[in-house]
Amino acid sequence: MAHVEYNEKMKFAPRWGIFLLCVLPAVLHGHGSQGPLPKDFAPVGVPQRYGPPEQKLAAGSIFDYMDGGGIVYLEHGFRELVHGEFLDPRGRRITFDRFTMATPVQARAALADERIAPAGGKSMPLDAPNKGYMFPPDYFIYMVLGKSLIYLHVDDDAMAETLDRFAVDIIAFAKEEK
Amino acid sequence: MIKKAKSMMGVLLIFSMLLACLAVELPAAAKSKVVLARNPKAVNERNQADGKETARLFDRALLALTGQKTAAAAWKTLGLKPDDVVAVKVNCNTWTIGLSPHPELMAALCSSLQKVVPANQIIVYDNEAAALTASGFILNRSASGVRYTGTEGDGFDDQQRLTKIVTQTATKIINLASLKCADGGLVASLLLKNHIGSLVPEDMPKCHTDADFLAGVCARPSIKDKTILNMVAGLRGTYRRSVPWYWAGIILGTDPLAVEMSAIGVMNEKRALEKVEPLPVPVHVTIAEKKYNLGTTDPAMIEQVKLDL
Repeated sequence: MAHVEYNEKMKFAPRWGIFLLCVLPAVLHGHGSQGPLPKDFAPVGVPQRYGPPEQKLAAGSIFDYMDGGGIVYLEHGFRELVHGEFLDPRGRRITFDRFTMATPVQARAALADERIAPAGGKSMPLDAPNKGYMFPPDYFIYMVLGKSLIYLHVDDDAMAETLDRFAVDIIAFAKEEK
Repeated sequence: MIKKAKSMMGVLLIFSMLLACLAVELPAAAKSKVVLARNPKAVNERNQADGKETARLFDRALLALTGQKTAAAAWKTLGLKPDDVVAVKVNCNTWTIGLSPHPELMAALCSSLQKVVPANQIIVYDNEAAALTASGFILNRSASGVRYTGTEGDGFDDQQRLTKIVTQTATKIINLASLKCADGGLVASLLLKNHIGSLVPEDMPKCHTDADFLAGVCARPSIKDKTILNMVAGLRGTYRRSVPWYWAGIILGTDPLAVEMSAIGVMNEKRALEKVEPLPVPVHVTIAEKKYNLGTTDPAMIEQVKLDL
């Protein structure tokens, strides 16, 4: 059954292409080249874009995505959120969020703000400022790339290694693009 | 001198008699009862709930709140009648960590309600149907079984600016929030915040910046007059923003502010253990008490009943 669902998801190949062409490269300040994807995962639907309340994007404002939690991001110069999700053949999900701030300093300040990247995070051996969180069964990572605060999440910590590898790939891709 | 003393005594006697009369005619206001029930067997450290233990937790808490011996009697004490339509407002939190009420808890609540009302007269709702699905609930807008739905399909009341589920369909409401710490100005996202999801979508952002507006949502007639139970689901909760722990309990009461304050107290107990500063009383909660008379935040006026299963 899961495989049938997966095959159905793969019918959205054009959407996947859009994701590759627009979202990840945009995260990494590049254009037109393919970005990394978590191994064995395929994007779900099209990425959603949210803006500040006064400048809503296609999916609305940040409050449409995370309700009142968005206020803190606005304090850090929030400009745009791109939200994407990936599913594997077993139906396991990876959440990818890119919060673009006005400046790299603000992105780093957001990472340092416990109202965003909460207490209990540990710095991981990644080539970017980051915090990783193991709150079973959740596992998530915040990391900063330029003006962007990237958030990666799985609700099954058995996938922690997959998420770590995805983070490493994103950082490597960013450096290549640079 | 003696005459003066006698008249003083007389004044004192009259004064004390007056006080006695006042004491008889103006009994002390009843305290708001809040049940804080815990069952460590209801949830494990991987956020998996045990249906049977969760049901036991809910059932015992309800009886403790009402002082009744059966669920049917308990609901009747709370004002529920067989022809009522009960709307249960849940807060499906899936960003970042899951804090939605467990489906096992909803099953326990709905099963208990069915001692009085048929399943199809129970509507579990949140503002977005997708949020319910993401939290593990199966949408159901059919004419059989408990209904699970978003507010999208029912429209909104123009005057009260609330979903018609609240203003038209439901005759009773249960406010079921999650044990969620927000830190910052909001402090916690509990019962008062929960009904943001009952508002017309364009009004929702006002709650983030206007404490008075937020406090007033639960004072709107349809919510205030129809709500029979306020509950905080805390099998898993957060005591700091996005930092979870398994409290393994629920908090119940009829006074929303007493329940809200008790939930903040639970978070503060955990914060004390973790050496984190206590949360203050949120501004919107104070406004809800002083301006909208929604309940009490005074610890002296809250009777907490703790139940450890």
